[in-house]
Amino acid sequence: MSSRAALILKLAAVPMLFFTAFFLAPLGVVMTSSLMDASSGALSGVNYAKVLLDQYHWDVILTTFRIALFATMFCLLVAYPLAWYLVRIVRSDLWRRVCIILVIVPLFTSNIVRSFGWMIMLGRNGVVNDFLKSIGLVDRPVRFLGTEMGILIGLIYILLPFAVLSIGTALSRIDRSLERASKDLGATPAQTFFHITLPLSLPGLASGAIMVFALAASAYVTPALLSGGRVTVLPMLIYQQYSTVFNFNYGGALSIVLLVLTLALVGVANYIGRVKGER
Amino acid sequence: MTALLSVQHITKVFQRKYKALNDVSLDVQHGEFVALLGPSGCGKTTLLATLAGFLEPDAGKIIIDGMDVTAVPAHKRTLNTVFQSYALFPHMTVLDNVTYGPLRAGIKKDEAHQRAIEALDMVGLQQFYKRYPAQMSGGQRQRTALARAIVNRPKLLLLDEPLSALDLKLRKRMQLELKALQERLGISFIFVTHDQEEAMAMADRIVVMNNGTVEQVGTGDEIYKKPHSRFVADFIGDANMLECHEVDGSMRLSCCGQALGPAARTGSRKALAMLRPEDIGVSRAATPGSAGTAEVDDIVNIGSHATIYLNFNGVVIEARRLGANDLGLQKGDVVHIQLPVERIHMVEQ
Repeated sequence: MSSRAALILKLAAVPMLFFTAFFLAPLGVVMTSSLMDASSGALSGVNYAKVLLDQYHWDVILTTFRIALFATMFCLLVAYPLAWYLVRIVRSDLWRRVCIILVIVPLFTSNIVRSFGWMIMLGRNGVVNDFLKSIGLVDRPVRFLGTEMGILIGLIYILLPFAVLSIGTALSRIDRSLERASKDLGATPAQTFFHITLPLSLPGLASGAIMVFALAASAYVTPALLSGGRVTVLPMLIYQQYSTVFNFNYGGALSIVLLVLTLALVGVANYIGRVKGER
Repeated sequence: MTALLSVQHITKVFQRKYKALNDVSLDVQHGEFVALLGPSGCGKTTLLATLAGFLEPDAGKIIIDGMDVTAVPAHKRTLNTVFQSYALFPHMTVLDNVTYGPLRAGIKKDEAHQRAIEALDMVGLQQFYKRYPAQMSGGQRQRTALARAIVNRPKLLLLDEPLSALDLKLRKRMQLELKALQERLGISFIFVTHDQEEAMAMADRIVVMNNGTVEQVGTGDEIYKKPHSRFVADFIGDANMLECHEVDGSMRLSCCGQALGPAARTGSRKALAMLRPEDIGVSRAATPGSAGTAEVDDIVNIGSHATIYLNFNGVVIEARRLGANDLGLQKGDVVHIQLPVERIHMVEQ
């Protein structure tokens, strides 16, 4: 073995060890416990059978992924114009930096605090309802808390920065002369956007979507606080199993189901997000 | 016949003070090959961007085919551009790149396809239509960019240093191919370059630009032999600029006192006599027209010709001899030089 290969192996050893100790090993533990019968400790698929053969679980899974999907869609819809504004419209570097900091700053605060903030704002007499009443859009306060809508609002707010940053990066990497070339060839601004800019920003959209979706599907704090116990998502069920019921085997099975389903959807998104012709 | 393109007093100011284009006027005829030549930052690319419609001039008019297009957006102008970076769409195949223009113009898919294949055939890329830009060499990408532009059958094609990314051999071949293509299609070309040899090799007319203004417009021969300014003389080829002074009503070279004859009158007292290196004679033995002796400072031999740097009464003179160093000169040798008066062109300082 050449010394170069040995060096690469040595350099890779530390992250590999870290990855094994703090990610693969715990995952292995969860996986094995999910394959064991809680009472006898024998190897069995009873936990998975319980998860997958129960209509209630399918309802929860459906709710979880519906919320995650909507959160992803709305995040991308809001993030694209925002990223466009940051990358294409803002001329002053200072103002752009301020905007980026404004986008990132919420990430410095705890999820719990921000979700509590939304609990107050979305309440019966919260800011949002006050505003809606004052502009005459509604007569009676709208119920946000305890609905999927409330959870969705909280998740979109919390996950938006990830989408903005990844779309912004993709947009800023597009060679502007391609858009010029498109116009030169007779394309209107709209045609240029749909034929050139949008397809070329697809990798950013895909990576933003993957991040937002994975985080939304596995989010616990925000749904837990904003659901008021009325809506249940998979992570809440998992938390219950681990912290209240102490059924690690069943909780493990639920976790693995969440992981597999999320990975499958991420894989699909990854496939769609490839840009043809790039090497 | 009216000009295809008429640029009238175009001015473009950047950041409120920097004049990238300063009162530029230019006419391009149907089927003409015009080179915009100048050093980087002279405004040639800015001029091209204004013609294409990517930049709006602060003053002046652009008229194409008798129509004022100054305020017309880029996508509605009947001209096409070949970009320096080629700007091929990386997510589309060669064929999709080339059909892009015709499809936007509302041409049916079958016909657009047909036209694209024809255009690709013209640049010798027919068999590559399924490839993506990343799978092709620089020369092939260049040809694709060319095909993508000519497929639209524009009357005017703008080319922004299209050959600058190619290596020398390929560049020379592409120069010939481009010229032949232009003659075959009858399209007017405006070709931006900073390479004077490229401009001389291809263009019917050369527009020399400097500091946002047009310094001189003319055929390659005119510009080489009769530059209007010191800048043009220096920028196009190599030039010896010799100081002169007036003695008893006739101009003489300051370095040797040789009389320049009646043709040297310029009306300006601060004129310089320009002499191209290949016009200067060098010999070991004294000849009848000799201006005097000079010492060889240095010799650069590149095979086809040699450049000899001479110290002539304290003035450095560059002479060029075809057939390399056929005199067997060495540093420190003393030679006789001839400065043929009839080859001297007077240039304002």
